[in-house]
Amino acid sequence: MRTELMRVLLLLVTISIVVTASGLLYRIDNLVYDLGQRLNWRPAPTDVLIVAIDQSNLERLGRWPWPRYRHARLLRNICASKPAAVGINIAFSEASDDSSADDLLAEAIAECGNVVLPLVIESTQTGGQLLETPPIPSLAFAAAGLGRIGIHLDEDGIARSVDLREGIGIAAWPLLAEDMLRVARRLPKKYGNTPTVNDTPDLGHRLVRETRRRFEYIGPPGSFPRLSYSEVLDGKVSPIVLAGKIVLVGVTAVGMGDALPTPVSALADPMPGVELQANVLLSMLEQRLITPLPLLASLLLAAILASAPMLWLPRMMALPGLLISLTWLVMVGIFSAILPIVSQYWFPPSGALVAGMLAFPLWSWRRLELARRHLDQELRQLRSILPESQASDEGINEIQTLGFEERIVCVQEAQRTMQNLETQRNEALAFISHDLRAPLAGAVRQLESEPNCQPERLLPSLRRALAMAQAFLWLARAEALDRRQMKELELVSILHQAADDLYSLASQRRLKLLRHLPDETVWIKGDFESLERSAFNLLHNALSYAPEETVVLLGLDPPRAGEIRFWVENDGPRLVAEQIEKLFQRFSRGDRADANSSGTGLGLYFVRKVAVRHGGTAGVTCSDGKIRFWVRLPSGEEPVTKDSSLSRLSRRIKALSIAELRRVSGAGGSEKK
Amino acid sequence: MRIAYLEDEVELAETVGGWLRNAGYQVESFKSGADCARAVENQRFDVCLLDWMVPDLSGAEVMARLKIKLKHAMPPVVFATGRDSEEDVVGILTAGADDYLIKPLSRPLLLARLQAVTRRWQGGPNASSTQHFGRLVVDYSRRQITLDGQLVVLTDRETDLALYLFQNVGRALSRELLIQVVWSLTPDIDTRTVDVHISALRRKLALSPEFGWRLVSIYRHGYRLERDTA
Repeated sequence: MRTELMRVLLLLVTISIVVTASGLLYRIDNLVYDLGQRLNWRPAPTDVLIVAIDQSNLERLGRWPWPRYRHARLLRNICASKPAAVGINIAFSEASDDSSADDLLAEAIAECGNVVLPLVIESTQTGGQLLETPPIPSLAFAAAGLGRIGIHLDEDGIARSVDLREGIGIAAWPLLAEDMLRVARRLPKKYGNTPTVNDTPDLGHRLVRETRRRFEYIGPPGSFPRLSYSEVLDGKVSPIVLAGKIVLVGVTAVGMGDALPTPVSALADPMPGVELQANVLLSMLEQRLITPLPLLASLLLAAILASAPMLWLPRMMALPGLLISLTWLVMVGIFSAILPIVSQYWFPPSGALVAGMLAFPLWSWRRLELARRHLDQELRQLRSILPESQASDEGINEIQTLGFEERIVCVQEAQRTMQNLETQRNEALAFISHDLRAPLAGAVRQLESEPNCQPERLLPSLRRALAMAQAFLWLARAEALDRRQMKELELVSILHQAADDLYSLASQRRLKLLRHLPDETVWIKGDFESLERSAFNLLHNALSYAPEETVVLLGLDPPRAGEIRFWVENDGPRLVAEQIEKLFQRFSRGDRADANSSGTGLGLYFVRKVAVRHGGTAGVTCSDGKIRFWVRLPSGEEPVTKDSSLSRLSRRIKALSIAELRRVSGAGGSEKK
Repeated sequence: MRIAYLEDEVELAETVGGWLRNAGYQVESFKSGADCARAVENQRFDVCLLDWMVPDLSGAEVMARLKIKLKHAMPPVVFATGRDSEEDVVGILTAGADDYLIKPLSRPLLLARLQAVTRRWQGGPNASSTQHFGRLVVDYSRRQITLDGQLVVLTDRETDLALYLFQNVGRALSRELLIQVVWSLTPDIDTRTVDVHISALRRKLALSPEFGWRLVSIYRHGYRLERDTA
């Protein structure tokens, strides 16, 4: 059990580590993460505002793009209210046709002094070459800062993270949000000391990203307080609203620009880029950017979580184990969903979850395997100590091929056999205590009461006791007969022998014992002693009960349809059905028996037992004043030996000698008939 | 004739010893298997009658020891045993016992068996003579057997087998021995062949109690032809 536990534990840990390290099941990780984010709605912030260019603005002010003097006016209006910082999520990467508008905007930006403009890293239309696209130089010069507005999309196309630094060749560019916070002097120290230029060598034209972090969403699209562009433009907004705030200007109109799917919004309801930036900004401001756990730490945590089920599984029964394992899965899920919210660390739980899911089936499998092994062992033991019942002919090796349920049936069978044996033992005890003790006690009593007692008076009861003990012994052997251990026998000679043994009894009783036995040999698989004893018992019965001066016949029908039948026939009254049934029962003597006959009451019971153990049966038929007791056995087919040339030769020799024998005996072999 | 008799039950040993002395044997009784083995090793005995179950060395162990020590000079061994299962009987015979008796012993049977094994050891009947067994006359020199004066037609192998059986009346003969003696020239003979021939002899020579014969199968071990004169 201990090694099994270690094995399962090792397997679980391996699974969790492989899954975690490979990121194979990132979809599960993301699912858990998104779930956590959805649970994490927070109230709208008070110090971040979005000036939104929405659908109604477009309808009022005309189609996009708008002239830049309009943006300049907006900026002047905003800056008049003294915001902490202004970020514009509109790329001004080309000079407009009206250069005076560009100048106006540049002026407005310069006047504000705290405006941050976006930089876009995009690929060119042809060739896919990457380009950093800053605003036109006049604007860029006027701006207080430049920041990237790129958001990193995960494999499943959902925006969850940002790279704090990114750039072509060198990860030089901070995020728009970071620059806005710097301009507003509210950048937390934690992020502020990130070096803008680091030591990594120039990597040419490759995009270099650094310090990826996940950010939090405060809620679905529209969670940030929004001001309408046109209202700010028209000066309808009270200056107090904007004073000291961090203001983001951008497009929120559906179908325009840079909306992306997020964990908090369905694909059908993407979040506008400006609001994404607002979320990033807020996460930074509140120091809630989420760091993925380092690989080693994740692996360690995954391994620990994966091995946890083995703490309780070995101690529990199946159902509580299953329930606790399910609870454990839910707990691991909730833990990793809540971890980023509470501690700003993200642990991908898929490895631990998969291991947790597999823990129960794996452990149950090993347990079942152990149970099966135990069952097999028990079964083998039972089979080795029990006399084989003919119901289960399969050998011990074939246990392997049995199904689980069949094995259970086997054990139940063995159990039944045990019970039968118990019953037999009790019967035997009853037999010894009563039937066997009675004649012996009688003899002892006689000896004690009359010291000079005649041996002739003692002998019958002693003989009877001896016969009983002998019959009982034979019966015990018959009950232990195993068909698989039976060997080839010549049945005719066995019958002859039984008849030989009883010749003297026949002549004593002045009965004629005739044999209707075939001249040929007849082979069957069987047990020599018990078959001879069966024939003996039948003959003995017939010789005991047949009227004097009559004929007792011993016969063997030629094998037919896979059956061999030998029989003993004598004159006698017809038996009724219930008498017949009684005849073959244990310790019963026919009504014909007189009290001091030497019959033990086991003779016919023995005959039937032997026949059944050989796969046949025994019975009795009455007709025309004759009673015929018969035993039917399955005929032993010619054994299929291995086809070596030697055995072929021996078969040919045998065939020859049989043919020779027939030829010779055909001339003079009719004396019997 | 000297007989070594191993039996640990004193009363039984006295009774049987009496039977044997009356029949003209010089009986030496032993209660311990080791004593018996030592005596047989050092003195000349004509036959051993061994009980299977004795406290120290069992009869089977005594026999095994004698076999190693005396080799071909070993006297014939008859076992008297209470164990009558096929396994036990065939086991004793295979181990080299000449014959066996199931307890309780019967005097005539015991004497007949002892006589059979000792007769063989003093040499069989003269090979050139004729033997009369009631209705049967066996002529060894001409290899012919007549039943009521009628010549019985037998094949060569049947004749060999019949003559061998008549030479060894009362003795347990294993199938292997019969095959060696009768089919010595035929390799790889099926043991069934023996049964087929025995069956033919039983029929042709009328070897049944009606005519004073019993042809007994000793389980699947072999056969014994017994003269049933009673």
